[in-house]
Amino acid sequence: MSCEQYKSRIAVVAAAFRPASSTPSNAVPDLDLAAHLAACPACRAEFDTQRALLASIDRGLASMVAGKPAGDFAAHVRSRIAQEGIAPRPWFAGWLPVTAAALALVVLVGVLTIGRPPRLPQSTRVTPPAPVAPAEKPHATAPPEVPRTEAPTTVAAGRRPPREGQSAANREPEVLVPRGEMAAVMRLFNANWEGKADGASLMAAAMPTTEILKPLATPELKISPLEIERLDEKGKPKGSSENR
Amino acid sequence: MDALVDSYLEPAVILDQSLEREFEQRLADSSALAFRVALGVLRNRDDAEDVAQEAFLRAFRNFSRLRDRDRFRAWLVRTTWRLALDRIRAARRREARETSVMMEELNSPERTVEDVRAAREFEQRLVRALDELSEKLRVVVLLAAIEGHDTREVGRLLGLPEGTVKSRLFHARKKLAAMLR
Repeated sequence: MSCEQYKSRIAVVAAAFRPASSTPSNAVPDLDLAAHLAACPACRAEFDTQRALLASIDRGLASMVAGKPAGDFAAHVRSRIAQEGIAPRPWFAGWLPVTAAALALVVLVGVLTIGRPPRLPQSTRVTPPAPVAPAEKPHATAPPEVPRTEAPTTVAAGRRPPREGQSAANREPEVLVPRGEMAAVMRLFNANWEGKADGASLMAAAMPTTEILKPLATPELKISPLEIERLDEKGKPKGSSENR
Repeated sequence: MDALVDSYLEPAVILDQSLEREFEQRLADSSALAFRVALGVLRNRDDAEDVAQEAFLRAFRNFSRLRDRDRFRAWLVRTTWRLALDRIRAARRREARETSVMMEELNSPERTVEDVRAAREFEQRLVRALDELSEKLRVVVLLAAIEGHDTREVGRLLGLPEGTVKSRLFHARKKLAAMLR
C-alpha cells in the first residue's frame, strides 16, 4: 500500500487519541498502520506532526476553559438574588402555560365539534313516509311535474329513525322528495350546506332575469256607480209594495 | 391565632430553608462549571462571571424542579451555554475581548517573543476554527476540554449517549486539525 493511502488513516488515528501527548506514538491500534509507520520515516513524521497539532489544540481548548470564578462569585449570586427579590417558583409553575394551552385546545376542538351542525353523508337512506305526520300532507303548490302516482320518498338525512316515544321536537327533520328528484335535491342540499350555493343565486339561475324584473301586471279596476234606492216614509224601498 | 398561623407557615419556612441549603450546595459545586462553560464561549472573564451569575439566578428561580444534582448540572450547562451565545450575538464583543488565559500563561519569562507571537497566532486561528464548528460539535469539544470531564460526564451533562459524545469529539478534533494544518 502506498503512503498516500495511509494519509487519511493517519489523520483518523491521530484524531482518535486523546490526549495525544499522553499516548506513546508506537501504541497505534491499527496494526497495519503501525507497521507502516515503523518502516516509513515520512509517514512517521506526518503522524507525529498530526499528533503534535492535536496536542496543541487540546492544550489551547483546555486553556480556554481553565480558571475559576472569583472568590466572591457565590456572594455576588446571593446578593443579586436578594436585590432582585427572586424566589423559587413552585414546581408546577412551568406546567401552567402548557396546561392552559392544552385546555384552550380542548375547548376549541369541543366548540368546533359540538357547535357545528351535522353533515349529510354521501349516501342517504330511504324510509317509508308513514311515521312522519306533517310530511304526509301534499303540498298545495306542488310543482306539476311531481308524479302523483308514486309514493313520495322521505329522506331522513342519514340519521337513525326516531325511536318510539321520542317527542316530535326531538325527531330528525324529514323532507318529502319526489322519487325522481331525490338525487338532485341531495346535490342541492349538500351544495347549500357546504356554502357552495345559496338560495338567492339558485333562484336567479332558475328564473330568467326578464321574468323577475317584469313589472307586476294588475288588471284595471272598474268601479260602477252606486245605485241609490229611494225609500218611502216607512223606510221601505219605493215601489216594493207595488211590486208585491 | 398567632400559633395557628405559625403552624401553617412553619412547613413552608422549613421547605424554603431546605431549598436554600441545597441551592448553596449546588452553588459551591457547580459555579466553576458554569464559569468555564461561559468562558469557553465568551473568552472573557468578566463576561463569563456575569453570565454564570445570571444562569445561577435562573437556576434559583426554577430550583423547585432542579433539586436533583445531575439534572441541575445539565440544566445549568445548557442555560449558561445559551446565555453566553446570546451575549456574544447581542454585544458583538469579540474584538474587545481581553487577553486570554492562554496568553497569560504564555507571558512567562522563559518564553521568547517569537514563542509568544506564534502562540498568539495559533490561538487566534484556533478560536476562528472553533467558531467554524457546528454548535453541537463545539459544545462537546469545550465541555470535554474542561479538566476532569471524560466523555461519560459530557454525555450526562448534555443528555447524550457516551458513544455519541465520542463520535462528536472525534469529528470535532479531526475538523479542527484539518483547519489548523
